[in-house]
Amino acid sequence: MQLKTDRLILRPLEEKDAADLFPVMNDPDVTANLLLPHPYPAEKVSAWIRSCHAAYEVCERYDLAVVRKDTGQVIGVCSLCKVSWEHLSAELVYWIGKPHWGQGFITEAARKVLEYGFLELGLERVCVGCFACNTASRRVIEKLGFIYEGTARGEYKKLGVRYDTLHFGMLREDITNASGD
Amino acid sequence: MLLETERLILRPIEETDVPALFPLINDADVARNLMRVPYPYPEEQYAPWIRKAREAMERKEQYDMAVVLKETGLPIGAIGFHDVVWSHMRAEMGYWFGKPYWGNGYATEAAMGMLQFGFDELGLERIHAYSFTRNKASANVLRKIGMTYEGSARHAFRKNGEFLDIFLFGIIREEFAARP
Repeated sequence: MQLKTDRLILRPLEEKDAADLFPVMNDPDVTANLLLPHPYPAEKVSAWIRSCHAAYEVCERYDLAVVRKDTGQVIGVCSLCKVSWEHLSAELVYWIGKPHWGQGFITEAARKVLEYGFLELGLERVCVGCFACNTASRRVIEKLGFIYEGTARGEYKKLGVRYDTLHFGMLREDITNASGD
Repeated sequence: MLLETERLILRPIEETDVPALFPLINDADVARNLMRVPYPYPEEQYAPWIRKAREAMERKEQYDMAVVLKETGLPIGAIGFHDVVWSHMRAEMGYWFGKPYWGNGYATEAAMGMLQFGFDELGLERIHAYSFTRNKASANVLRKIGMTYEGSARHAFRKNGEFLDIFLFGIIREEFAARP
């Protein structure tokens, strides 16, 4: 499987991506917004990629490397996680290296992954969440056409601090609105 | 472990509860509102489910309690914490009651007991609950025990081929401590 957009290629993670992804997974500005542990040990990156691959083989997760066409560099990951074939639902997760922020790469990648989820996989619903303090992610989520569905107060605890989480959802019937712009 | 409220005893569910609880849970009107309970419920699966729940309780991953009416000594339903996530100090609460016992405030009373147990004994910091949006009675219970409506997830659950919307309710430790 491989998806293409104007500037990106999206394809299942491979173990060789560990070299590009390790610095991203250890950037505190990236992990501040994620549930990843910090620091992320180098030897665990390959194991994590292997577990993603195993889950991909059984259609439980789709973790895609986000590759820049111009440089061939893997700049981040865009995933459909917690895929439920019973409920035809999944959760969108993404993260990308700081040098590539602010250029619309996440929006471009996520839009393609959503299209894949709804049109190829036949999902009914995709949800996405972000910490309430993560305004950049919220902007991306709204640009993608997600509908705000609520705020779970104090849902996560990181280093002793509780975080509120914003929850968003997109239904198959919403995607026509999202792809309109 | 034993929790007591005015009219109820909450204690870990046991395999010996099957004869009393099975006829109550194997009810289309009860199962209609539940995420984890099929209808018809295959009887041979109930005791193994209880056994698994007990093992999960020993690992502190979930807490499934039978709700016993003091007056008769009979179990009338069940309540529990599922999806206990210790790294985030939170749990999901769920419950069901046999139809003959609906409308007496037992769910509210049992759920208040569980909140107290969760916050005061387990030290949780957040407890949340889901209900199908069509289940107005449960949403009322969740409001009555002091939970706040936090949002609705559209088409988040498929039951018998139908996509259902889900209400999310939550309460955090500080709110429970400040209750009237």
